[in-house]
Amino acid sequence: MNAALLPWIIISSTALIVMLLTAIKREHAYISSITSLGLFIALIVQIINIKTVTYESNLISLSNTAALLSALLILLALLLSGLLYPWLKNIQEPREEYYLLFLLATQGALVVAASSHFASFFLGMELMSLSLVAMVAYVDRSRKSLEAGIKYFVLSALASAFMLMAIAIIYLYSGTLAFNQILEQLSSNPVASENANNIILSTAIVLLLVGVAFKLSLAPCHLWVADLFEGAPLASAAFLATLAKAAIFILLIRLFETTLWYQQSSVITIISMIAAASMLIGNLLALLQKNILRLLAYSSIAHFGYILLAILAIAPSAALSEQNSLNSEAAIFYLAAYLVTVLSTFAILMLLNDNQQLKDFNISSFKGLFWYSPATAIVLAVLMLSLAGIPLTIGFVGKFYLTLAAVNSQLWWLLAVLIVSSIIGLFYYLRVILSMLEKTEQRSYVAPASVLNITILALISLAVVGLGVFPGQLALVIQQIIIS
Amino acid sequence: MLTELISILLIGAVLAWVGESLQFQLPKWIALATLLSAFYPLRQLLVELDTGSMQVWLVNESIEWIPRFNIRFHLALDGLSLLLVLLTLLMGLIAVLAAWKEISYKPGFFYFNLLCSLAGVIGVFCALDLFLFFVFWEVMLVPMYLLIAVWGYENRRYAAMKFFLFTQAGGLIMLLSICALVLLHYQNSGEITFNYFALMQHQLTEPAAFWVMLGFFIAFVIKLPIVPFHNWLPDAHTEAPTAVSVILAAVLLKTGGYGLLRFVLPMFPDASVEIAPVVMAIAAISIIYGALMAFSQQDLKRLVAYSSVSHMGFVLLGCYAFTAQAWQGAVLQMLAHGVSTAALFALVGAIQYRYHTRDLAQLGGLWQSIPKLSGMLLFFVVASLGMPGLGNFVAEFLVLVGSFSNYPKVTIMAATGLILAAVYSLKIAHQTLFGTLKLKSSIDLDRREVLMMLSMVLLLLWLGLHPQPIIDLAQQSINQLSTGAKL
Repeated sequence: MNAALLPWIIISSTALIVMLLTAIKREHAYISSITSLGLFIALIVQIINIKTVTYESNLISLSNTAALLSALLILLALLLSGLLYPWLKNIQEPREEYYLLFLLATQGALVVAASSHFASFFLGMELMSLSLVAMVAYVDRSRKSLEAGIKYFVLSALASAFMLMAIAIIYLYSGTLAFNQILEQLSSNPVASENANNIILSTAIVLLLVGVAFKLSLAPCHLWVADLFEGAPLASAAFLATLAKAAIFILLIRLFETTLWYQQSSVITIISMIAAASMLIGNLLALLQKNILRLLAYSSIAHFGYILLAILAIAPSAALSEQNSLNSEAAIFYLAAYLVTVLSTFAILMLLNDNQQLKDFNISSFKGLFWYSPATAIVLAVLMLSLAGIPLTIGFVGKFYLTLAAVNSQLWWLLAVLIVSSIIGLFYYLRVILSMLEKTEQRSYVAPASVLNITILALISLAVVGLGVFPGQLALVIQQIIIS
Repeated sequence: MLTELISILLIGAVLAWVGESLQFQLPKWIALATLLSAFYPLRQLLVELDTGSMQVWLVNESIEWIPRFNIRFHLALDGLSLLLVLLTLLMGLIAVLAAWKEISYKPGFFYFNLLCSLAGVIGVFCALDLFLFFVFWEVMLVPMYLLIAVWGYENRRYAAMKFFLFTQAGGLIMLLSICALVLLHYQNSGEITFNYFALMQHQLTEPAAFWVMLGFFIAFVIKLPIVPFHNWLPDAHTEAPTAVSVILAAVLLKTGGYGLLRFVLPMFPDASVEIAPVVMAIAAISIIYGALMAFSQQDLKRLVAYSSVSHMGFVLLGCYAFTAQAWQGAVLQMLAHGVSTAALFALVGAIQYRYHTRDLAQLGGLWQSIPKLSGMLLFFVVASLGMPGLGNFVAEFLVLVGSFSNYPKVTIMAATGLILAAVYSLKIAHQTLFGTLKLKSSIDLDRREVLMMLSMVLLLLWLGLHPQPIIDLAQQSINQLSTGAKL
C-alpha cells in the first residue's frame, strides 16, 4: 500500500462508515461531523503528501502537481461539507444519504483529477456524474430539481457516450489507453503513422473534446448549465460548479501536456474557437439574466473560456521558456482563485437561503441588501468584484497570471476577445452590486448574526481579499511545487 | 512616509464609516481631520524643501510584495508627484467641505469611499512599480463608482456604469501592455521585474515599442479625456454629487496627464515622437470640440464638464510638443485646471443646493439675490477663460508658446480654443448672473463656503502671479523627460 493513496482510502472508508451508520441509526449531526472529519483528515494527509510522496502506476499518476490539485479539491469538499449541515437541516427529505453521495462524488472527482489512463478516468467520471445526478434531483418535492436531474442525467450520459466512442477509436489506432503511451504507439503503428492527419483519429479528438466541453459547460455545449444551476439544490449546484468542473479541467491539462496536443494545430484551433465562443457567449447571455444563479452559470461558462487561455499558452516556444512552469502556474492559480470565489458565492447564497424574500434569488430581490445586512452584502460585492477581476481580490491575481501567460505565448486575438468579454462581464457583476446598493427604507429582513454566519463571512473575506492583497506566498508555493 | 500617508487616509476612511453609528455628524469631522493630518507625514518635505539643490527623487520607499514576479511595493515622490499629491489633498479638503451639508444619506459610507478614492489617487501618483501602479489605477475606480452610483442624481446608475466600463477598458489594455513590456524586458535581460527604472533603461525597438506604447496611451487618454474617448465624462460629472465632481475634475483626470508624463513619454520616447503629430492634431480637435460642445449645453454642470475636455486638450498638447516649456505648461495646466474647475463645480453645486436646478434657462439674475456666490462664480469663470494674472493663463500660454516652434499650424488651431473658452465662459456669467431674477431669492454663501472659495482664489492667484516655485519644483522631472527624449 502506498501512502499516496491514503487520502482516497480515508474518503472511501468515510463513505462506507456513513453508509453503515445511516443503516444503523439516523443521526444527522453525527453523520455530518463524521463526513467533515473524514475530509479534514484526508486533507491533512494529502498536504503532508504533496512534497514527499509521489505515486506512478499505469492507472494513476500522483505527481507533486496532481497532489497539490487533489489537496485543493479536498479543501473545497471540506468547506462545502461544512455548509451542508445548516442547509440540510431545513429540508424534509432524509438527509443522511446526501453525505454518502457527496463523499462518493468527491472520490470520483479525485480519481478523475489523478487519472493517467482512460479506464481510470472513465470510472472516476462516472462515479462522480452518477452521484451528482442523485444529488441534483435530491429534493424530489421540487419539480425544478427533478427536471434538472433528468436533464443532467440524459446529457451527461450522452457526453459519456461521446467520450467512450473517442476512447474506443484511440484504442483502435494506438492499442493503449495510457495517456503517455498513446503518442509512442501511434507513431509506431503503421496504419496511424501512414496518414498523419488521419480523419478518424481527428474525429476521436473532437469527440473527446465534445465530452470535455459538455462537462465544463463550454460553448457550444453549454445549454444545460443555467437550468441546472437554477433548478438543482444549492449544495449540489455548488459541487457541480466547483469540484466537478475542476476535476475535468485538471484532466484536460493533463491530456494536453502528456499527449502533446499543442503540437497539433487542428486541436489548437478547435480549443481557441471554443475558448473565444465561451468567453463571448457566456458573458453576453449573462447580461440578460434576472436570476443570480443563472448569472453565475453563464459567468462560469465565460470563466472556463478564460482559463482555456492558460492551456493554450502551454507551448514551449514562448519567451519564458526556462520558466515554462508559468502556464501551469497560471492555470492552477486561476482555477484556485475562481473555485474559491464561486464556492464563497454559493456559501453566501446558502446563508441567505432561509430568507423568504430572497428565496428565488432574483437580482432585484437583493435590493437594499447593503443597507439592512451590510456584512453579507459587502462580502458578496467583493466576490462579484473578484469574479470581474478587480484588483485587491484573488480574482484579479488570477487574471493577471492568465494575461501574463497569454501575452507570453502571444495569443493576441484571444486576448482581444478576453478584454472585450471582460468589459461585457463587468456590466452584469456591477448590476448585482448596484442592486444591493439601491436605496430602500423597508427593513424587510435582518440576518441573525449567528456564529456560523460570521465565521463563514470572515473566512471568505480572508481568503478572497487576503490572498488578493498578499498573493506572494501562495504564488511561491505553487511555483515550488510545480518545478520540483 | 508615503506608506504612512496612504495608511492615514485608509484608517481615516474606516473610522469615518464606523463613526456614523456613534454620531451622525461625526464622519465629516473625521474626514476633515484625516485630510488635515495627512499633511503631517509630508511636513519635513514641505518645510525643508529647497528647489535649488533638490534631488530628482525626494522620497523612495520599496518593500517586497510578490516575490514570484519580483513585484515590490515601491512608492516614490519627485517634484511632479509632490505637486499632484498636494493638489489631491487640498482638493480633498475642498470636496469634504463641499459635501458638508449636501450629503445626508449614509454619510459614513460616503466619506469612507471619498477617502479611499483619494488614497488610490495618491497611490497612482507615487507608485513606481508598474503592477502596483495598475492596482492603484483600478482600485481608485471602485469607490468612485460607488460614490456616483449611490449619491448621484437621477441618472446616476447609467453614468456610474459608463464611467467604470470606459476606464476599465483602458485599464485592461494597459494591463496587456504592462505584461508585454515586462516579458520583452525579460527576453532581453533574463530578469522579471515591474520596476519603473529597470523597464525604462531598456528601450524597446520598433514595432513592439509602438504597440506597447499605444496600450498605455489609450488608457491615459481615456482618463484625460480626449475626444473620441470623452463620452463618459459629461455623464459622470452631471450625475455625480458636488464633492465627487470636484474630486473627479480636480484629481482623477490628472492621473491621465500624469501617466503620460511619467510613463509614456520617458519609456517610449521614440515611439512618442513618432506619433506626436497625430496626437497634437487630436489634442487641438479636442480643445475646439470640447469648447463648442460646452457652448451648446443647457445644463450648467454639463457645460463645465465639456470645458474640462477642452482644457485637458491643452495638457495633451503640452505633453506631445516635446519642449520643456510646453511640459511645464502641461503641469501647470493640470494644477490650475484642477483648482478652477473644482471651484466651478463647487459653485454649481452650491447653486443647485439653493435652487434645485442647473438649467441655464431657469437661472438668471443671481447677482441680485446672492452677490457673494455670484462674485466668486464670476472670478472662476474669468479664470477659466484664461485671464492674465490667474493660473490658467500662465499654463495655457506656456503650452502654446512651447508648441508653436514645432507645430505652428496646430498651435494656431488650439489657440482659437482660448477664444471659444471666452465665449462659453461668458455665457455662464451672462445667463446665470445677469438679467432678471427668475427664482426666489435664497441665502448667500455661508462662512464655510466663503473660506473654501477664498482659498481657491488665493491658489489661483498664486499660480498666476508667482508660478516660479511650482516651475522649479517640476523642473527636475521635466529635465528627466528632456534627457530621455534627447532634446
